[in-house]
Amino acid sequence: MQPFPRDIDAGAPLDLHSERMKLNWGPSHPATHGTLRVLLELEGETIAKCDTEIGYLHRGKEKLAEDWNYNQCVNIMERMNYCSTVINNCAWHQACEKLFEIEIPPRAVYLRMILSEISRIADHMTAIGPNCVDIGVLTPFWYTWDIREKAYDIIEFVTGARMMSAWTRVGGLAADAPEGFEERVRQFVPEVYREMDELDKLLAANRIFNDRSRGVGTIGPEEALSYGWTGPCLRATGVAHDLRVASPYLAYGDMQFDIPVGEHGDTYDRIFVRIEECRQAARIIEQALDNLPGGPVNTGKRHVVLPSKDAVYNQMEGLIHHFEVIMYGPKAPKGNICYDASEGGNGELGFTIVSDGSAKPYRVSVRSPCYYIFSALPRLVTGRLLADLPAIVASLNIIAGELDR
Amino acid sequence: MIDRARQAAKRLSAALADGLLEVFEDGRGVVARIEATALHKALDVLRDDRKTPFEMLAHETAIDWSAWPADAGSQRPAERFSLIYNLYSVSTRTRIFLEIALAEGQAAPSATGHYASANWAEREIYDMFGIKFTRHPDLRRILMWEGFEGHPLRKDFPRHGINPQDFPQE
Repeated sequence: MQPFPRDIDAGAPLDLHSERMKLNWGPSHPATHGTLRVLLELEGETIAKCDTEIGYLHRGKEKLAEDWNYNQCVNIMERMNYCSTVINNCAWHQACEKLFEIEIPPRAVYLRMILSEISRIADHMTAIGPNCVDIGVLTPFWYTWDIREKAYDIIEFVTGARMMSAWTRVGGLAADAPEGFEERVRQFVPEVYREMDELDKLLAANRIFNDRSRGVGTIGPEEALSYGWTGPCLRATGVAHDLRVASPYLAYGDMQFDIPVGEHGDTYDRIFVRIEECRQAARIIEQALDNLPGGPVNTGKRHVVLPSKDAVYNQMEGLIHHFEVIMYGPKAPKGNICYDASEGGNGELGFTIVSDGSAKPYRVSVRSPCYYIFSALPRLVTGRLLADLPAIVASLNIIAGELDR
Repeated sequence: MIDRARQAAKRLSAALADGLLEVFEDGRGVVARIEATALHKALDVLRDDRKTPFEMLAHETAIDWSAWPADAGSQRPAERFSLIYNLYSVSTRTRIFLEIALAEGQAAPSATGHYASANWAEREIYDMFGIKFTRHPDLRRILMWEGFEGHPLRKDFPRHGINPQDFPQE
C-alpha cells in the first residue's frame, strides 16, 4: 500500500470556496405569504444584496376598472387586500361618493365604520399570526386565528361572504345589517380585549420572539416617510399618523381612540402596534354601537341608488330607475377628478378617480400602501441574516394582491 | 388644512415664478400645474418648506387623455399625458398636488432624488404608460414581465391584450 502523500501542493495557501451565493426566494414559498420573488446575494448567511421582483399577482385592476361601472368595480377593488375586504369596499365607494358629490345617511356611516374596524382586526390578526409562525413562535397563531374567525363570522353574517363581501354601493350599502347584528358584535368586543391580552402575555415575555424580532428590520421615521410608508409600519417608527385622525372620514371624528406608536421601527414594534390597534378598533366598535342610528342605509338619490321595491313594482319611474342603475350603473358628474384616501389595514389606501361623465371611470389609480412599503425591502434586509428575511417580510404584512393590483 | 395647502401653493408660486402655470382646486384639493422643467425646484421648495414640510410623496401617477370624450368637460390638456404628484405633509396633515403635462415621447424629470417612494412609482408609470424618466436609477418594468410589448394603461392598448392568440377575444 502506497503511503498517502503528505504535501501534494505545499506552496498553495489553504482557501475555502468564498464566492457569494445567489439565492432565489419565492415566488411560491410558504413564507412569502403571497407570490413575490426576492433575489438575494449571500455572503455566508448575511444578505449582501437584495432585489425584488413583483407582478406575479398583477391582474390589471386599473385597466379593468375603466370598463366596469362604479358599483361593479367594488368586486375588483376588494380583491386587492383580501385580508380586509370591507375596508377596501368602504374606501372605494367613499372615493366614488366624493366624485358623485353625495353623502350617505348616518346609519350607513356607522355600519361602514363598525365593519371596517372588525375587518381591521381580522387584517391585523392575519399579519401577526403567520409572522409569529415564521419566527418560530407557533402558539399565538391559534389565538390570532380564533379571533380572526370570529371577525369573519360577523362579516359573513352581515355581508353574506367571509372574504369577498362586496357590501357597499354608491350612496350606501347593499343591505342593512340583519337582525341580531348588535348582539353579535357586543359579544365579539370583549373577546377582542381578552385575546389581545393573551397575545400580549404570549409574546411580550417570550424569549424566542424577542430575540427574533427586536432590532430586526429597523427603519427611522424620516426614511420611512421618504419611502412613502403609512399605516402600522409607519406608526411603529414613532410617527403618530393615522388618516382616521388626520383627516377624519365616516364618523371617526366623533370617536375617542388613541394612535399607538412604536419606538424603534422594528419587527417587534410593528407587531405590537398592530395588537394595540386591535384594542383601539374594539373601542371604536363599542362607541359606534352605542351611537348606532336608525334609518335608511342608502341615500334616496335617484339614478344612483336602487329605488324601493314598492316603487319598482308600482310606479313606472321606479322601474325605469331600477333598470338604469342595474343596466348602466350610476353616472358620475362630467369632468370630475378626485382623490380620496382611507386608512386601510396597511396604511393609506387612496383612489384617484377621473370621470368623463359616463357610468365607468375614465381612469382609476390606486395608491396601495403595500407597494410603497415593500419598495423599502432591500434597504431593510441588506446586511441582515437570511433568517431575518421572513420575519421582516411578514411584519410588513405584504399582501400580494394589493402590491400587484 | 386646505388653508395650509393654499399658503404653500402661494409660496411655491413665488419661488417658481414662470415655472408655475396655475393653481386651482378640484376634487383632489389644491393642485398646482407646473412646467416639467420646474419640477425639481418645486419639490425642493415643498419638501423643505418650513411651515408645511411635505415629507412624503404619497403617490405618483399618470393619466392618458387621448381617449377623453369631447363633451366631457374642459379638463383635457393639450398634451397627451398628465403626471400627478400627490405630496403629503404628515406633520401638518396637509396634502397638495402637482401636475405636469407631457407630450407623447417626452421624458419627465425623475423625483427619485427627492423621495425614495418615487423609485417604484416611476417604474410603474414607465411600465404602464411608457413614460420615461431622466436620471432614474433603475428604470425597468415592474408589474409586467421583461419583454412584454406595449404599455397596458395607455388608452390605445386593448383591454383583452394585443396578441389574440394569447388572450382570447370575448
